[in-house]
Amino acid sequence: MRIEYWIILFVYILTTALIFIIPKRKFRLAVVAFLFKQFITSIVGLVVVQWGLLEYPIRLFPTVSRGSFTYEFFAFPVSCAIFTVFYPNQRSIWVKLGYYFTFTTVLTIGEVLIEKYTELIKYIHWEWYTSWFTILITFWMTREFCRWFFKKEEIGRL
Amino acid sequence: MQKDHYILITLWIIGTLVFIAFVWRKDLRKGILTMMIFQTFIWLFNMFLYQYGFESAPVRELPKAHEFPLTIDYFFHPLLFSLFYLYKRLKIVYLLVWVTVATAFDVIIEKYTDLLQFGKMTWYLDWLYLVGIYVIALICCNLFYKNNSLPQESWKSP
Repeated sequence: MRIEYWIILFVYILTTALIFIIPKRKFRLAVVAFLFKQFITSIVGLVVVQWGLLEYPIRLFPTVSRGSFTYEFFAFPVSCAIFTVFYPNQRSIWVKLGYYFTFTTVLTIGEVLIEKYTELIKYIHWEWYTSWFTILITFWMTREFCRWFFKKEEIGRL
Repeated sequence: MQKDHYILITLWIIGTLVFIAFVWRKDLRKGILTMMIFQTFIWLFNMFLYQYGFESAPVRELPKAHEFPLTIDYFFHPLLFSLFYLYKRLKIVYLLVWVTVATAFDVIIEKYTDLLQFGKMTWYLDWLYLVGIYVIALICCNLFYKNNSLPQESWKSP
């Protein structure tokens, strides 16, 4: 088996394991964040492939979708669910900005390394900072969506 | 533009109007959540369905990026499910009638347009497939809304 498939398998195991760190009482928040993120990334992921900005030479379901099923359908939405669940609501603006910065940067570094050393993703008209900004924006959109979604039930500030 | 593209645009217009009239005015949050849950499952199962040649979609929205019908399976069917959930009566007959309507929609699209083509798929397999997704999505939605009391404390920071 090629190294790429081992990486995909590893991503599935790691992401599934990460689901278990979500506290049970915050599971509904995690579900909404997951679903919303998945909705954005699935569509946008297909659009960027259609426009030829990126490609995923090795992927699951190669004949059905030229997007990355593993990343857009599962890994990225789960990471966003974790982002939203552990968001430091009551802390200062600097902690919040640092939180955004850390999550976005860690995911971008992971993507850049995978791009450089494997065939899982190839940048065509794409740069690391495009990834960084798009990841940042999708995190922000998901958090705003969750805030809106739970507005009626909100007690503390999200 | 082909005839099928006009049909796609028509589907979008009708879908948007139905969404505003029957989902938005009833319960926008619940409507969006049920649509997203349905999208997740139909997206996942479609991967297998299209990978193994049960269906194909000759005319597509993003032909270079995906092989499944995006508008029908990612907008129209979730919308039908959302209507089903928002206006549901707790009777199995209601679910079966509703799925039959959704199947009829698929069959008509398959017969008169190139937006959907059945390979190994038949109308009764499609019906069973949709019943399966409806039941799974219904269980997930019920679980989500049953734990309605949980999020209150989840908004307080730990």
